[in-house]
Amino acid sequence: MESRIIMKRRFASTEPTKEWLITGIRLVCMFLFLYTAYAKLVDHDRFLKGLSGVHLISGLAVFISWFVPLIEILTFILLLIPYTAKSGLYLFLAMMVVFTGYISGVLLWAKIIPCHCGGVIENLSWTQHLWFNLAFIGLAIIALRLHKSNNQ
Amino acid sequence: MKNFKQIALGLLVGAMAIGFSSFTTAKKFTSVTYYQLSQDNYTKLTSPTGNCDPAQPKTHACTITYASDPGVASFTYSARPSGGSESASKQIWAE
Repeated sequence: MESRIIMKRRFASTEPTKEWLITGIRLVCMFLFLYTAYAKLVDHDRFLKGLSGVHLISGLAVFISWFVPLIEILTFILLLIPYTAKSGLYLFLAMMVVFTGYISGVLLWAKIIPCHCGGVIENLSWTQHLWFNLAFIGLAIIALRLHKSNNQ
Repeated sequence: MKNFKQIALGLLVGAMAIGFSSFTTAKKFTSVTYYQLSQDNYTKLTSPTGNCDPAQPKTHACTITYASDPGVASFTYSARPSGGSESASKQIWAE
């Protein structure tokens, strides 16, 4: 009986921790996407030029140069509003998976291509960038799992 | 109230992201030198005007930027100093 109460108490105490973890991960994801979106829009010409130099996507460079920062801003807005945070996390995860796929493609097929990701993230090497993205994918998955267990 | 707090915190993070982003992006603009095409020559400007002379050959870039100043007032397209970054918007010309 006593152990049951202790178990219940322990479980109850984890709920706010979960909430804080989800909020913390959301805030980190929001910071990342708004930070990079702003850098891409402020220095748009440079971003477009960089995309034009990538052979695989040069035909869609103009479209991508606007689409990516706008989707990043949309993700930020979705993550900002508590009711749409879960959708925002799914969109964030999807975007990060696409970016990681792109980086993996570059690592496989190209040797030297400059990164035009925006801000200080550009200083990372491609391999560091891959790990950076994988870490954020992991964070988004953790937040979604916590979300799911909170709703149950 | 809880949701309001979360939105306020999110907006604070957004403001920080924009502030930090403009801080890290601004460094790139300080050392850039622009040359803009005008009458067969690229002439040095403090900032590009966004328009190029429509009479100029459209195969040439509208502006050429350098991370460090090449130290010349003007040059032709064929004799342009190396290391420049040519404008991606060759098609943008004054109407």
